[in-house]
Parts: sequence; C-alpha cells; structure tokens
Amino acid sequence: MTDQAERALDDARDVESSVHDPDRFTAVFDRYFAEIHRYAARRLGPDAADDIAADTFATAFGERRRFDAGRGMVRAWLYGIATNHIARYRRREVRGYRAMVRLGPDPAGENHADRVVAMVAAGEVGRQLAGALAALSRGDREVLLLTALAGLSHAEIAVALGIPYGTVGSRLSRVRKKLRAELAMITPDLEDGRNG
Amino acid sequence: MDELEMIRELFAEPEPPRPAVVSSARARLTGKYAPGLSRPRFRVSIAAPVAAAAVVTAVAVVLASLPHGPAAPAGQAGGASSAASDPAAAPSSPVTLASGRYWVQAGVVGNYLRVGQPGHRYVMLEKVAVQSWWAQSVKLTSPSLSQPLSVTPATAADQEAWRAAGAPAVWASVGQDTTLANPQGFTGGFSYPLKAGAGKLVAGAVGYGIGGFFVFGRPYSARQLLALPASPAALKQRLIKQEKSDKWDGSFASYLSSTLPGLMTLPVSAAVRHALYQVLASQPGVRDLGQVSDVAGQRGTGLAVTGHWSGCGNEIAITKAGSGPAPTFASCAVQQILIVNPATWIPVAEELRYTALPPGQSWSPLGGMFSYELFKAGYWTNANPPGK
Repeated sequence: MTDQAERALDDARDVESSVHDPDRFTAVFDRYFAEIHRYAARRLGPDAADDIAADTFATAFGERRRFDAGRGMVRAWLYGIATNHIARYRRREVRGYRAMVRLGPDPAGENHADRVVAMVAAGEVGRQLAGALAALSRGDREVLLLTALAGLSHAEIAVALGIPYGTVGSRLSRVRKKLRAELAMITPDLEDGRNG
Repeated sequence: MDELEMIRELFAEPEPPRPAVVSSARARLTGKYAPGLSRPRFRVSIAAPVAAAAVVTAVAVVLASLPHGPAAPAGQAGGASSAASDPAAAPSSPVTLASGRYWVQAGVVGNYLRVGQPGHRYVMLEKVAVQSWWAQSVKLTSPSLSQPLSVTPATAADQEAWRAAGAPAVWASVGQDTTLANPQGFTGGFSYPLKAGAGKLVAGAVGYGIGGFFVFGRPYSARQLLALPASPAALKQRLIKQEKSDKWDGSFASYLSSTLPGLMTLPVSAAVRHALYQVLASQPGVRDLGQVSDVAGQRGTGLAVTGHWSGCGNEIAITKAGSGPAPTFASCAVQQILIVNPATWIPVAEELRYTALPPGQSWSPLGGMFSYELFKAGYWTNANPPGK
C-alpha cells in the first residue's frame, strides 16, 4: 500500500472514530489545517484564510457523522467544505483579480489585492491571466484552482465539488483551452501546446 | 510554462498560518472558546449560543425524545405562537435580568425543497423545530437542537406530482440544511436524505462554555445585554463595526436583516429591540410593509430588504453522467422579510422569497417563498437541556 493510500485510510479511520471520540479529530486537523490554510491564503490572502481554514474544520467537525468513511477521501472532503466557505468571498476574490488586471493599488486597499498586485509584477501575462480568471464561471474556476493550486486529482475534485468524475475532466479541458486562447495573444507558444 | 504553472506563479506561496491562528482554530474543536473567530452564515451569528459553530446545522449527536422546552412563564408568551397574533395581548416588557441557568429560544424553520426526477420536479415543505440554549455559566454547554416535524407537499399541484411519483417517503439527498435557507444553497458541502414524518431531537452544535451570550464579537452577560444602549445611533455604530469584522459581502441593510432577528430574540430590553428595528428601517432600500401576516397567519409589523444573488438554491441535478448538487436557478432576487410584534418588538417571523428569477423559470410556493423561521419568545429556565 502506498503512503498516500495509507494516509487516506488513517484519515477515514480518524474521522469515523471521532464520532464517538471527538479528540480523534484533532489528528485530522493537525494533518490538514496548514494545507487548507495555504490554499485559502493563495486565493484570498492570509486574513481571510485564517477564518476560512478555521471555519472549514469547525464545519467538518460538526458534520463528521455524515462523512462516508467508505470513500476514504477526507482530504477532498475538506477541500469541498473550504470551497463552500471560499464562495462567501467570491466578490472579493473577483475584485482582487480585477485589481490585478488594472495593476494599480486596489481602491479598497484590501490586503489581498495589494499583495497580489505586488506579486504579479508579472506584467502582461499576469494581467491577462487575472482577467481570464475573473471572467470564469464559479464552477470552472473551482476546478481549475483545485487542480493548479491544491494539486487535487480528478477523483478528489469530483468528491470535493460533488460533481461527476467526467465533468471534472471536461470542465478542466474546456477552461484550459479557454485560458490558452486568451494567453495565446501574448505567449504564442501556448496556443500550439508546446508549453502546455 | 503551461497555464497551470502560470496560475501557481500568479498566486505566490503564502506564509504559513500564525501559531495563534492554529491554536485558536484547534480550540474550536476541543471545546474551548476561541474569541474573534465566529463567522457569519446567511443567518449571521452575531448573537448565537454557539457562534463559532453556527455552521454546524444538521444531525450530529442524537439526544433525547421530544423538543418540548419548558412552557414560557406566564406573561412571557409572545413571538410566533400566540401573542404575535394579538399584539395587544403581548407583554410590553417580557425580559428581566437572568432568572435561570439558561436562556432558551425556540422556533420552527420551514424550507421548501425541490425534489424528484428531472422533468418531474415537485416541492416539499420540511418543517423543523429548533431550540437554542444559552448557558449562563462557563461550566455548562449551550446546545442548539433541532427535530424534524414533517415533510409535506407544498401545494396541491405538488401533492399531485408527488402522488404521480409514487408518493415516496424518502428522498435520497437534498441540498438544504435545517436552518433558514441560504439563497445560494450553502450546505457545508453536503446533501442528506430527507424522510417524511417526524424525526428525533438532535443536537446540531454544542457551545463552548462561553457563559452568557456571544454578541458583537464578544461574550456578554445577561446584565450587560440589558445595559445595551437603546439609541439607534449607538447600536448602529456597533453593528457597522461588527459587519466589518464579519466581512459581510452584501449591503448593510441585508446584513442587518440577517443579524437582527438573532439579536432581538435575546433578553435585551424592548427599547433596544425597538432601536434595532429603527436602525434597519432607516436603511436605504428597506421597505416598510406596515401590518402584515406571516406564513402562519400571525400578524406583525414588517420590513423588507431585497438582494440579488447568483447561483440560487441547491438541488441534486441528475444527468447521464451522474448526479451532483447544482443551483436551482442561475440567478435570483431574494426578499428578506422581518416581522415583529409591535407591542414587544420581539421577532415573529423571518421569510425569504424569490422575487425575480431568470426568464422562463418559476418557483410556485406561496408567492415565491422558499424558507422561513417562526420565532417563539425566549424564556429563562433552570431545567436542563434535553438529553442532559
């Protein structure tokens, strides 16, 4: 059995046991809190990430009885909950992308937008990418960012978002194609797939 | 570099969480009060017995049998069940300083849930009794309890459709929890089986030994609650500050509409409740409905706030490729209505209705209503919560 599979089994056992022994849930917390926080921080900045990560585990703890241990995908389950919490910040996130496109300080002075603007110094490619992200549908954006930032597999994303496995692949394929087309104007290599 | 790598580069590596953040979040799981980390839901937890765990909505720990809290003491009845239908009979000042170990606030939540197969959808009304217990001692927990009461077809047409579908008593999964609905269908990532008939009383969340009440982002004793200023301006300032802390992503009016019912059902003075009502009534876009009846026919004075949302509702979509949660409507306008007893300013009901949907789409129950909560007046008690 691979380390990953063993960890998934441990996760499932911990969640299952925590229904009657709540302290067992702290093992899950210790294993994944930093990872969920990191994902949220990359999307929304550290302040929002503090709340989102804490809320994610509070939700998971409260809902642990409903977790289907047979599926053994605690990590995906946590990302799914985090995604729901992140959804509350959707307007802020999109504002952040638009701030990136402008490449100026965000008028609202939001830390995240400022941080990203500084970080993107990326120039035209970054601006183009940010604009494309802002224009994506919520569903497409979640699949894309869970793939790119969280490194989730298709199967994990299907569990996280509660969508069919095949939908993950088709959404990802569609959105990547869309991004390539948007970026092709400034990075022609992407269009013919030489870098993709 | 492909587009996925570009995205990773766009979102640079953040700093790890601060130790205080980790320990505070961890404390929420281990039963210790973690100040400053309560989060809003659609019903904002500005004042909830388990503010930090308000996201926990459905089944958790099975407790005892019936949800009957002790009867409200004489002179304290009001809210949804009785006095609201006859405001003149309601007490003018039903709240006194703490006279029990717990403050209990109960009510009934109704959610209209669209179920059935594609092309043969119908709507069922799920009613759930809810109770919140606020322990006054840090040594006691503050549970929130709920008990399914019934699941029935919402209208005559829904009843026909339900019968045509074989009159099922169980629906494999619905995407709505047992609290007041979120227009965007937030359910914490879960769906759950829906069963017709009454269910058991369960504890959905347990408080953290806060003692007193969690209001405006910090614990308040009963005495401090009663000492809140009855000035609309002073209360508005506190609410503005709390809205900022809650990172509310909507208008201030919609924030108030979502927070005030919770606050007004606590043992605050009638003058404070009146002032809170005035704060909401004075906001741009808030409509004074005058005398209205709620879904149960109870009379009261109402205010309405309308907001626009994308991705509204939540139901299980079934396609050839499989099934999964999906918004019922791509967009919607939702009217939140708060109805209070004008004699006591105690909330009678909160109702959520669709007032606009995408072209060609409709939602039939009761003029667009999709969720409501009927409030009963709170009371003090020395009894233990059910299951204790």
